[in-house]
Formats: sequence, C-alpha cells, structure tokens
Amino acid sequence: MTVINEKTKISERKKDVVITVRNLKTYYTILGGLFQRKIGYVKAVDDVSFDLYRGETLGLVGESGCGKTTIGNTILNLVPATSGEIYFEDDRIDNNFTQDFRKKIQMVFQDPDSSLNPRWKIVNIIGEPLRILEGMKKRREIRKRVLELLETVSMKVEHLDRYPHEFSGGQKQRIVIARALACNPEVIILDEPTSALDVSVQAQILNLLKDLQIQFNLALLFITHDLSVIQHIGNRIEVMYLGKFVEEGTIDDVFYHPTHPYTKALLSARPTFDPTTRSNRIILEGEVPSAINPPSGCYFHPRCPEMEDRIGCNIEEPKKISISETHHIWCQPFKNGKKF
Amino acid sequence: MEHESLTQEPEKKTKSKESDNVIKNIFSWIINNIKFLLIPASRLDDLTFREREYEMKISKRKFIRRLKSTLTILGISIIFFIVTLAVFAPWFSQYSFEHLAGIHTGMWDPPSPEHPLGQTNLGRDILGRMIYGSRASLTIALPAIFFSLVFGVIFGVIAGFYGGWPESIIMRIMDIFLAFPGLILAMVFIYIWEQRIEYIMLAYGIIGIPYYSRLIRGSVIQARELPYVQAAKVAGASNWRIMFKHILPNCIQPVIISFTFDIGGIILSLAGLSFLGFSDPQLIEWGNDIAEARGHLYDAPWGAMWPGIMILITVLGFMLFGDGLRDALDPRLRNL
Amino acid sequence: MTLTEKKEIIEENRKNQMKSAIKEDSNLLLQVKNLKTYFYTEEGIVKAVDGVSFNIYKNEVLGLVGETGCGKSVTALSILRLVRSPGRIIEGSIEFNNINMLELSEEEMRSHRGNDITMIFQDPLNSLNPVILAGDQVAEVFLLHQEEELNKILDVHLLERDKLVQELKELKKEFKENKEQLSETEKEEFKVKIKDFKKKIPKAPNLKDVALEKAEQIIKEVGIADAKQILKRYPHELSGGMRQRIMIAMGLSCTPLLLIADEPTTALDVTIQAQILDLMKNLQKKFDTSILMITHDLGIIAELSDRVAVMYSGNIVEYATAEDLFKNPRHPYTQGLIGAIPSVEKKDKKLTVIRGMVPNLIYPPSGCRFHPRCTERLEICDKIKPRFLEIDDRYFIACHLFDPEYKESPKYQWDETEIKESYKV
Repeated sequence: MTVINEKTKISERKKDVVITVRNLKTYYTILGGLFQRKIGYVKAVDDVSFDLYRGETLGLVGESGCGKTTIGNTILNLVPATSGEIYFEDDRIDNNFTQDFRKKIQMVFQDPDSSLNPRWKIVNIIGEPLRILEGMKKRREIRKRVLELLETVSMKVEHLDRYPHEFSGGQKQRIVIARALACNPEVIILDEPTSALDVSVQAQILNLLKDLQIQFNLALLFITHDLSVIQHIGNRIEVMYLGKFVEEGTIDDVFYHPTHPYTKALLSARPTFDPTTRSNRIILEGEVPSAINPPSGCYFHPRCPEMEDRIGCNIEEPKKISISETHHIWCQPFKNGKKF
Repeated sequence: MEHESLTQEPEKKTKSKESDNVIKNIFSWIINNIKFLLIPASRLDDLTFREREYEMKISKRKFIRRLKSTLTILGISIIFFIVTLAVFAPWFSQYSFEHLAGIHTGMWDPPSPEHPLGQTNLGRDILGRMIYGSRASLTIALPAIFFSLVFGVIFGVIAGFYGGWPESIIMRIMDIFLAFPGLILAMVFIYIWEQRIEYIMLAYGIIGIPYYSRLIRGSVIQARELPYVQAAKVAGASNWRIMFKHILPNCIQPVIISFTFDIGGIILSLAGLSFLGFSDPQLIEWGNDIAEARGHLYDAPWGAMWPGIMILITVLGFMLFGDGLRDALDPRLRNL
Repeated sequence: MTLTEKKEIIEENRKNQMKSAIKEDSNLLLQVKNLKTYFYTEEGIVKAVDGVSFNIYKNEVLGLVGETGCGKSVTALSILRLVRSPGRIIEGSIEFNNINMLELSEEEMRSHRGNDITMIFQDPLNSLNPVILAGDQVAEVFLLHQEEELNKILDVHLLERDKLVQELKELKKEFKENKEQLSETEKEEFKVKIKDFKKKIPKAPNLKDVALEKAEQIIKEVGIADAKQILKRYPHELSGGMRQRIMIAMGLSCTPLLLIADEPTTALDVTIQAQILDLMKNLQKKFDTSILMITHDLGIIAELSDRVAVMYSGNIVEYATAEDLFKNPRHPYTQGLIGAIPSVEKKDKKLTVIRGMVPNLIYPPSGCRFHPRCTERLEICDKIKPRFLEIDDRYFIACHLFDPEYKESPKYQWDETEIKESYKV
C-alpha cells in the first residue's frame, strides 16, 4: 500500500477522527522560595489543537524542551491539562480518563532500557496491562496472549521468561511495543521510539511499526526530533517551537514546501550526504529561549532569519495562515504584502 | 520446558503412552522445570554452544560467585553457628533453661569438668548461658528489625512516592525520632512500659523505622520518575500496585544490605541495654552476664570474657555477611 | 599443505599487505597499526578493538563511524592511552609524529595529552566539573600546559605596570618638590591628576589572571559573544550547546595537532548541532588541527570528514575518502548502514535492514565478523579472516568480495529458515 493511497483514504474519511485536541494548555508550576509557593509557570504546551485520524501517523517534531513529550503525557493523563479539551472519538477524556481509554490509548517510551522494569520477567511486563485492563486472571491464558504478542513483534517463545537485561536495545523496544499492543489499542503514542537505537536497529523498528499500523489499523502519534524518521513513516506533521505549533501539513507539504522560517532552518540543519543542500544551509543563531520567560510576540523572532521581511514579529502573536487546505503556518504577514 | 507446559499439559501428553514412559516423562519434566527455574541457560533451546557457554558463565557469576570471598564465607559460617546454637540449645548444653536460671552453689568458681567455662555468681554454668544467650539475642533482634523493616518500608515508600504533604508529615515525624540517640530512646520506652522481652523488641522496632524509611525514600524518589513507572501508569496500575509491585523490588536492595548490618548493631545495643540494667532480668542474655561480672574482672575474668567474645563473634559475623552482600549486590561491580 | 601452514601464510601475507598499504607520507600525523585492545572481564576476554589500522594526516578530518559497541570509543581512548583496567592494549603501535605512544612513560604521555592531542566527549555536562567556574576550567588548561608562555605574557604585563608605577613615582616626586611654589588650586589639580594616574595602574596580575585572559580569547573564538559573562558561570548554568563550545575551547586551547571528538553533538538538538559542526569546520581550518571524529551518524561524517573509516565489531571494514565512500560504498555492511537511513527516496519502500544482531565481542564469529549477517556471503567467509586491502587509490576494504584471491569462491546459499530466523532479532 503506497502512502499516497493512504493519504487519499484519510481525506475521504475525514470523520474518522480518533483523537481531537482543542486549545490544549499544559503549564507546569514552578515552586520556589522558603514556603514552596508558586513563583511562575513553564508553558510547556501553549494553546495547541490538532486531530489524529484512524490509521494515520502524525508526527510531532521539535527540539528538546519544546513540549512535544508533554502533549503525549497530557493525552494519557500522566500530566493534568491546565485548560483545553481532549476527545477520544466523541468522549471527552481530559477530565474523565477511565481504564477503558487506557486500553485504547497506549504509549511507547524513548529509552527501552528504563521503560522495562528490571526485576520483572517479560511475561509479567507484557501481561501487566492484560491483568489490569483486560481482567485476565489465569496464568496460562496470560502466557498464551503474551506469546501471541511476542510473535507479532517477531520474538520467540523462549523470551517469555527472561529478564529485560538479557536483551539488546532493539529487542527491548520490540517488547515495549508488544506491551503497547496488548489490549488492542487504537492509538499508540510513540515518544522518540528510535532515538536510543542504532541506525540499523532503528530501520527494523520503523519497518515493524509500519507493518503493525497496517495490520491493526493503528493511529500513531509519533513524537520525535529526527526529521528523516518522520519523513519516512509519517503522513502528517506538526512542527513545534516552545510549546506552540509553527507549521502543520502533510509530509509533502512540509518537506517539499517548508514555509515557516523555523521549519526551513530545521530541515536544512540536517546533516546530509548531498553536498548541494549543504551550500545553502540556514544556521540559526543563538539557542532556544527559556519557556519560563518566552520572548514577546512570536517566540521565534529573536532567532528568526526572516524577521526583517515581516510585520510585527516582536509585538503580535503569530496568526494562523493557510497555505493550502492541509498546510498551515503560524507566522506574520510579509511587509510587502507578498503571499506565502 | 516451561513454555511447553503452557500450550499443552505434559500429563495429558504422557497418558497415552506406557506406564514406564509416564514416570520417565514426568520425571524428566520435573527435572526440566527445576533446571528451568535454577539455570537460566537451560531456558534457551536453540542457543549455539558458545552462547550457551557464555550464558552459563553469566548465571554462575551472578551473586553466589560474588559471595564467595573468604570473609563473607566466614561471616556466613558464624551466622550459621549462632543460629544452630540458638535452635538446638538444649542439645548442646547439658543443663536445662530452668537450671541455668536457678540458684546453685559455686559462686565464681573457675572452669572445672562439670562447668568447662566456669560459673557465675549464682553458680550457673557459663557455657550453658552462652548457648542459651544466643536465643535471646536472635529472638529480640530479628523480630525487632522485621518490625522496623516492614513499617519503615511502608512509610518510606508512601513518603517517597506521593511527595508533597504526606512526605512532609511522615518525614518530620521520622526526624523527631532520629533526633534522640537510639539507646536512650529505648531506655525511655522500656522505662515507660515494663522490662519485658516484648517491649524491648517493640522499642527497638520503633527506633529502627526512621532509618529504613529514610533509606528507601531516597531510592523511591529516584525510581518514581523512571519510564517503567510511567509505563505501569499507562497500563492502568493503581498507585498501591505501582508502589509495592513495580517500584519496591527495585529499591529494596540497600535495605537488605542495611538489614544484615543492623542485626549486628541491634545485638550490640541490646547488650548495652542489658549492661545498663534495662533488660528483662529473667532473660539469659550475654549483656546481663557482662553486667553481673563487671565487678569481678580480676578474680573471675571468665565471667565477663565469654559473653564478650560471643557478642563480638555474632556482631562480626553479621557485619561480614552484610559487607559481602553489599559487594555482591553493588551495581557498580556488576559490569566489570 | 596443512591448514595451519596455509593460515600462517595468509597471516604473513596480511601483514605484508598492511605494511605496503600504509604508505610513508610526509603529511602523516598519526599512524595506528594493528591495534588490539582487549578487556579482561569475568565473563571472558572482550576483544573490543581487534587489529585496527588507520592513518590521520595533517589538517584532515577522519570520521570513525560504527554502531554502538563496535569499539570506536575504545580506539580513541587507546590513542590517548586512557583505557582503564580491565582493558589493556595488547598489541600494535600508535605513532604520533613519529613517536610511538605506547612506549612513552606515563609522565611523557601526560604532556602530550591535552597539549598535542585533546579530546571532547559526548556529554559536556559530565565532562565539566560542576563546582568550578567555566572560566577557571578553561584557564586551568593553559596553566597546566603553557606555563612558560603565560610567564612570558605575565612578564610583559608586569613590565608595563612597572613603567606606570615608575611614572607615578616621578609624578609624586615632582609634586613634592614643587609643593611650596604651587597655589592651592594648582595643588588640588595636581592631586586629582595623581589620583587619576593611580586608577590607571592595574592590579599586579598573577599567572591565573593571564590564563583567564587567554581563556576569554579562546572562548570568543568558539563563537560566544559575551565571553566575560560566561567565564563567571558554573557549567550547570550554561545550555548544552554552550557547554559543548566550552569543551571545544578547552580542546583547542593549546592548539593541538589532533583533536579527538567522541560523539560531540549526539546530546544536542539539530539546530545547535548544525552550529557546532559549522564551528568545528571553521576552527579546524583556522587552527590547522586534524580531527578524529567519532560518531554513529553517517550524515555528520559526510558533512565534516575528508576520510571515513567504518568500524564493525572491533575491525575497520572500509577506509576511504568520504567522497568515494558515500558515492559508492562497497562493503556490504556499509551498504546496509547507508540503506537503513530513512530518506526521501526510500519513502514508499521498506528500509533495508541488516538482519541479525551485533555480535558478542567475547565470542566473535569466526572468519569475517560480519558473515552471519551478510547478504553477499561467500563460502569462504566464515573460515578465513578477510585481509585489509587497498583495492583502489587510498581505498581500503576488508572483504573477500574484493580480494582477488578469494573473489572466485562460490556464493554461500542462505537457507530460507536461516534468513527468517535471523530477521527475528
């Protein structure tokens, strides 16, 4: 199945939204002083809205500290949302996250070493959601199901009774994926699933994820900082900077026609084999500002190479500008009225 | 193999065959299961020879190999010796408990064939009292320390996991306990209650709680941020399950090490307590004996020497074992 | 001819080949020959580096690329002789500027380390001391390695100051002599003049001040604008990119001949990584240093390196100029590695996967270490270790496929089940 086919399918069944996020804000309070009072907020996620469709892969891309992981954690209710709404199909889940939704939304973590309990056997690790969420009691039944799951991620029967430290990084990540699949979820949130792995192992995991997505019709929320990975596996992409989206669109939109200056810089910063792309590289100056005291107006303006051409970057909040039906950016208009 | 038993019952499989085979099969199944449980390498059918060899080496190396230093073995033997003395005291001693606690002739008599280590001021046999004394030390030290371990771990895990105000309340109470020297606090408790063995145990149990809860709280605070705890939350586990099934097994290690050390410590401080006269006078106890003999160090040195040596050996045994255990469990040494 | 004899001849051949392969070159800076570093652990001997040979030329960037646990970091540590026990360098030679590093005493080695050869590490937070100011840490490098030079600068500073002090004295003398003749207002003016002059005279500098001054210079050099501010901060107050810049500053402070960079950008974000790589490129030209760049990211290697060495399981399997290697990788492992990187062209296809797992370094596979995972495997591959041959101009490869002697060996027929199994790891 080619990606283009899949994409058209997604646009056909627009209604088939699995997760809807509307105006989500997640702030962490900073405690300080002698009596641990609130002295400020870190705006980890600041007014973000998106939809996740059935069977698609949505990439959340950004540098470390831009809040992409927080979005995942907020959807899973590991972190309370400050304001905004999250829906699973038609049910609101941000204030009422029951065990039923836990079954439907699962997560794969970044570091396979520490996301498996070192003192537990694999069968118990993968069996834990079965035991709690599916209410399976019989040991035999659980072992049978775990074995099935292990086989879907290409692992063998003798791995059942081993401990995590006996596996390589790639195998551990397969186990984590198997655990996420245990309760037949509809959405899997993948938090940098391959960044701790080697390139060749990463390729295995990415292939596996693609297969599983087709097999189980999964919606994947793929959180990563690696643009090449999301280009390979994703259908749509959201680029984040300091808790806000700066650009969203299909993979083709964003990778072939990047419009926001940050996306452009991000794309050109990738090390490549191709010497031609190297010559017109945009190297951003400075570093990501702190999310406690973000800059005024557009958060990106102190580093923006195109600020000269725009109006009101340091005063106004950026506006959502539609470039096509699927492609949007949050930016300021050009001074000379040029269109994007 | 375990996984075979998962998909098909071995008994069912063997029923169709002859009775000889049935026994053989059951036997081999049991052997396989035992192998499976004890030797990790036998879990893997299709490992190559080299890998199997490597696997075997790893499993051998684990833990027991690390415990094999001379001093640790010495510690283990001492503990074994003391425990044996305590359990089989009537067999080792020619005198009964009642006789050893009674009053007889022969005040501070030197060693003789009937009394190989001499007699006390009331004519009691010192050897017998040494043997029975191990019972008192262990019966007080072990329950006391279990008491503090259980409650210390519960409080520590709760404080570490929840943080915030539950932590503040629990840990401040612990701090208050820690502010008093242990022996003095024990004396206060025993003075308030009664000089009886149960209360001594309880006193020591309470004193130990803050140490364990501090110890485990630190590890829990570290562990609760780890992704596997998040994973357990995603899997829908309740807080109690996360605390005691997911986090606790990963944090219990320093507690176990400290546990063995503390047994020695408690025996020592129990002797101190008895020496100061705060112990149960009915008890046959090494510290009691030293307290009685302290006025006769010149004319009857055996009266204080033997209980002293017993305390020394016991404490040393537990300390050596604790030391060896720490080396064996230390993660820094694991990957060498 | 018995098998052992044959093996001996092969070994002999291999050694000869290696000698001829590594040609004498006037530009040669570092020559590593048949380096073997083993770790003697409880489980067995970990052959982390097993016969590695490569050269680094002056003003060149060599990229050493490989997956986790292939021995690339151990190679770097071996060059600096920083391998800790249970590890030991058991064989080979490391010639740096025609000095064999393995024969130097620890004392002599220390004078080279941080002076001629420096290293920057992956995690800049852990390699900086958290309780010492960043500036002091940079200054310390100067104090350790360039005391003489610093003393010279200090002398100059002191002489200048002495001159000023002398002038002040003369001024005071003049004032005393003319005291009676001057009016009150003139007196006042003179006093102010003396006061101003006093202010001009700096505090007597010590060696550390001079070192800090140099530290400021070098920190400016690595693209930190407000160097003075940064000098007075602790490492935890700096961002990751800043810390790595400080590390690079420390590395370059003594204008070393060779800078070893062990995954310098792995802990950084893409945009910061681009900054750092750009910086390293510029500084390499400016300082005329050679760089040994160790990374797992082929993209970074392609950007920065003149030459690439691909490592697999303790061996170098391919060693060539970056241009040649990326244009036409020949070793099946390198091909697999490049094929596994997601890119635009592979969008709709599956990524090529190198099947199987990285082998255990205690019991590595016989013959070519890559043979259990190799798609192009020949019958001979599991029996004889491939030679490290120069098949083109400055293109070295360790593979039987390119060895004229074994090229003709029949292709190994993979079993269906064997392939299936090997994918399942």
